[in-house]
Amino acid sequence: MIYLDNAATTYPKPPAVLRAVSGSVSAANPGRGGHDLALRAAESVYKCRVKTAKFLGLSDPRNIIFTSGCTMSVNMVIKGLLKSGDHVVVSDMEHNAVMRPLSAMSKLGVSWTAASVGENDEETLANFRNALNEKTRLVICTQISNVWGIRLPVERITAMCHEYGIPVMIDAAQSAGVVKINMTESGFDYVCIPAHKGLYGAMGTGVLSVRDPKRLSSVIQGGTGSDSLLLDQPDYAPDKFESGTPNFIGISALSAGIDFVRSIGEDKIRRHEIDLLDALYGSLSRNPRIILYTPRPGDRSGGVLSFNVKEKSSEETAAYLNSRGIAVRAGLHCAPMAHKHFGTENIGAVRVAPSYFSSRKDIFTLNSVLSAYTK
Amino acid sequence: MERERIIEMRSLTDAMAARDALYARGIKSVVTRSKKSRSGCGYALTVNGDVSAARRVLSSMGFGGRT
Repeated sequence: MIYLDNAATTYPKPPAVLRAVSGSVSAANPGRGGHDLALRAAESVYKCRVKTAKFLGLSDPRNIIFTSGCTMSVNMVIKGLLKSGDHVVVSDMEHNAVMRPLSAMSKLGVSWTAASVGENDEETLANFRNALNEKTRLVICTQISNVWGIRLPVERITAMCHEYGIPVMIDAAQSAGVVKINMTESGFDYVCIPAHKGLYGAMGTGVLSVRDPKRLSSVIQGGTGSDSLLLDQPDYAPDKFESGTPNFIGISALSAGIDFVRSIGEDKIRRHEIDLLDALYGSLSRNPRIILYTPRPGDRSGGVLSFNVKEKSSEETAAYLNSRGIAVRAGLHCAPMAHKHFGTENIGAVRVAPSYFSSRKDIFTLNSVLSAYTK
Repeated sequence: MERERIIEMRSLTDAMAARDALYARGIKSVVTRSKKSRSGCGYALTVNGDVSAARRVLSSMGFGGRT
């Protein structure tokens, strides 16, 4: 099988990640007891916290919160920060991981406005500025669209929002591991990350990186292994946000995944993916039966390219590719607003997402199969 | 004497971060379970060196010790 669905989860995983998983299934509970096994496990969790903080340009490991995934991280920000009467600005490329919690909050009196992603960064920036109002308490922006691969100017959006004192949350579901993220330089207030995509870790693990944990309320309470006499949740990070036994297996895999990404470098990984998609784009653009929606992959892109075949639904095309041993993802990709942007909300699109392990041969085979399919 | 070398910390992550911060300033310490904890689940640093200096460093860096 040629796997080109890495925007859903990267596959295969690096061998070091597999070893980290198998080596962490049998372990003591980190952060609870004081015996050697518990402290050894806790040390591993702490080292991953330090590593993740450094990876994101933060000096304090206590600003790294381990979660069950990017969606959980997003929910923690939206529900831990907003209250009735607050207004939020989002891009019109957001995933349902953002839009559904926001919709739930709108029933409690939170309103939102979608700023359209423009033809260029200036237009996008202007659309975000125009969407702000005096009640805006948070701006949410995906760094790379999970449908179209469009890379948004999140650093400039953040700088503009900070002029008005508005914090910014970045959905880095598709960007972590392929774009360097430095929260200190960029000023991002919250960054939400899945471990299992560009960081090559395990599913069911995520990160919420917070510049100022005091501003955020906790939405989950429970045992933390600290201040246990008190019924109130500790008010300091990460304990404030992390209750219950941590996902030691996922955290161990994340640690190995970050090592893998750092050993290659985000720029090289992204360049590899863009080069593959650029080659595919060149071939598809010469095929009169293929519909492309975005400009040729380049600096304003991540490793995702979506298309359709004329007179075929995206599901038909993906099913055909699957029958020929090629895994891609069709449909709406849980991002209906992003599809509305290009008018594909009723047909979806076929998404191709390579990883560092994808090859030119994979793309050549995909193109050959598509050529036969569209004859 | 042993007890004087111990700085109780509010959490395990704090204890490990404090240990690293002290090490960066030339003060060695190890993370231990506090035998005198009054908060239920207590972790502490056992300092191998100038405890007063360690307390001052941690206080200036905003670590939530239970000293």
